[in-house]
Amino acid sequence: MTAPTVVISAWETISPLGWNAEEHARNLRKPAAGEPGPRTVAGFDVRQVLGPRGTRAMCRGTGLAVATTGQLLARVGLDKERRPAGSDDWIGVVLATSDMVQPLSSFNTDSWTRGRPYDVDPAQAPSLLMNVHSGHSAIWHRLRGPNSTICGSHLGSLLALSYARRLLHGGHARAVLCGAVEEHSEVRAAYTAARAGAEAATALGEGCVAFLLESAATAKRPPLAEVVALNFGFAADPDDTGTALTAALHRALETAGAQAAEVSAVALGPGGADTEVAAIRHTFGDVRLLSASADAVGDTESVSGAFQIAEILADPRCAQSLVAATSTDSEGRVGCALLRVF
Amino acid sequence: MPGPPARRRVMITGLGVISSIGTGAPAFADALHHGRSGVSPITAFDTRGLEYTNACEVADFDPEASASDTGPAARGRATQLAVSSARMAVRDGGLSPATLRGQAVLVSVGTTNGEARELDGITERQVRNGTDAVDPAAAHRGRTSRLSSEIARDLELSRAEVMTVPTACAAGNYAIGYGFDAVAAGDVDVAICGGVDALVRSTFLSFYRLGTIAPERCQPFDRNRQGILTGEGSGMLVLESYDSALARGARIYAEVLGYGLSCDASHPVAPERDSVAACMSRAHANAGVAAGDIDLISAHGTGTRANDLTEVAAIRRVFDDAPPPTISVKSMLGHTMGAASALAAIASVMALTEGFIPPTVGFEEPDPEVEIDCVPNEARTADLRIVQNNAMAFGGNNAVLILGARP
Repeated sequence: MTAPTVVISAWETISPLGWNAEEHARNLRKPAAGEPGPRTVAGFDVRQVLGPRGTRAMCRGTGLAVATTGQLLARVGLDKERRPAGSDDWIGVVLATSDMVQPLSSFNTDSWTRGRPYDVDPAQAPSLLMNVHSGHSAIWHRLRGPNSTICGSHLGSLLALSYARRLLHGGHARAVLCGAVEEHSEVRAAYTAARAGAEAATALGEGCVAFLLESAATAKRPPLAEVVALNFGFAADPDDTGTALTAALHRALETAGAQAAEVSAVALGPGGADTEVAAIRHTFGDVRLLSASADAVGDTESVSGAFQIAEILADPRCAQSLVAATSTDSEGRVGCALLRVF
Repeated sequence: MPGPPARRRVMITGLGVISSIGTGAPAFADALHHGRSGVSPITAFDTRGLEYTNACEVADFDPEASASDTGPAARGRATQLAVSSARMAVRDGGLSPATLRGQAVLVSVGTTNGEARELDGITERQVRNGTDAVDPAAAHRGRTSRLSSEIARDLELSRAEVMTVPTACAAGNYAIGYGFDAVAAGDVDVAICGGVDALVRSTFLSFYRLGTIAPERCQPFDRNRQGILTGEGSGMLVLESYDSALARGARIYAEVLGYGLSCDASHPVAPERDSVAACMSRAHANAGVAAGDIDLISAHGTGTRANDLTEVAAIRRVFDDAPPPTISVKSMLGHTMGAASALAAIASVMALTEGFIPPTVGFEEPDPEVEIDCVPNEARTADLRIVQNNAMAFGGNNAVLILGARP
């Protein structure tokens, strides 16, 4: 069965490097500062950006998601003021993210330190759940298509793309705003540091990236890239990570009907671990490696894959070629995306 | 909406159930048949200062009994439930672990809270001990992404796409729907999919503060309903193509015919009638069935007035005021959050295979505002062909699954 071609038509971001795609791309080309400390979206305040209505209990991550998806819709003329009547029902939202550690910690602290265990703010209840980012993005932009949230550590973005692609293939949506979001918080930093233990934790980052994913057959705008393949694997034993990633890359090439030599560049995951690079070298030889995102925006966990793809789309040298993005996580997941950039 | 492309038929060939009313598909089916209730006083957390303290906990869960030797100590309860039920489903499906290791597998695990129980514990210890210190082991266990990755690790999968789907209380249907799409498209050989949640204090308090926790029992569709009871459990299904099931002589429980998703896009916690109705219609279209073909609805049926009125109004709209019997297994299981629609899907499968309709228990007095045959208190014998399984969630996330009798 031949699945319909899925393309990325547009993208947007609010990141430590910029408040839109162009600014992010411009600053990505500058050398990374390399200074310690978290990479945050400087000056981003939910109420200032989105206004006072409906934002009292909105967490930072949700604010980033609502604002970024809004910019993406506006960029392609699909904002609720301008899009055709009836299209509310066929635009989906798929965002990857990670645990809501800051809202949950605040909620629990209130419960333990106030008079009674249930002296908590009920308006915070939705923010304890990971689907709050995509759910609120839908409310804000009146999107009644499928609304999904994906959690898969650093593979989040690639898994979200895979999920969104199947929504399109399965006829559940005609267009999907697909990406990932993470917020920086003291609690996230503390939990990450606790997990890292004696190992030096990498600088944490935050931000949101959203792609407009459509079927090529119905897309109304020139595509930026075709999503040729998304392949995944798992290494139950960390020693098998390289093998699993190499296998995923070979399956992606098989799907594409392409030779390894046709791939002009590979965007690395935030770890850029030796095993990941070794698998890429084993498959593609002396291919050009892209790693500016990971250096510049820090460890953005679920958003990392989306930042890698944004780096590919922003790099003029990737045009008119096949480019891969790879990712591994500490739990055993591996995966890759193969894009044909136009 | 364009019609779905040509696709493979998708069969359910393995079931893993851990619930407050029974563990394993046969025990679960027996409990559904007899209308057992899983309600008991909460043991998962300290309930001092709370007026209502009942929930539907899994009292007899022993992770050591089914999970690998080294894993359980490093897993939070939700992850343990997920791993054990996935193992159970694989074994029940007669899949060879050695074969599965090399196959293309999707693991999709729905959840509401994930490992929030571990994260709750971190904050509790910080406050009690007057420290900012974070327990590293709990921070490690408290990652919701591990609900799915620990299944892959336990089964030693290598070609697996492994994701957690945290779409709140509709997550089980989401995860099964995703498994359906992946198998139907021919992308994977096997999908291990479902939903899981452990009882979590912060979630209980959220519902408590919202005024939706029932004092003693959950009575969906009843005039005297008083709200939800939180619960826990895990339901996992093995999906594969019809050809694959036939080729290996697998026992086929039922068929997944399709599913639909919609988003209310109106209110973060209150359900919306038209969006729920749209979700059902999308599911029917995706499954290639008409409303009139549905023999039974397994409702979201939480036991709140808001849910009952909205869901039944949506059902009556889609079914032209003549809906089929509409039950809520939450009357027996409580609201098991991300596991809820997965357990309800398995209940629907048991209804299809064993020819009965599970009852809505605890039913006393009809509500004139809720015109529905909820099969009160006693199971009913019925020859069912197609069952609809509803799920609605915070965030306005709706998911409706359509299941059919085995071919």
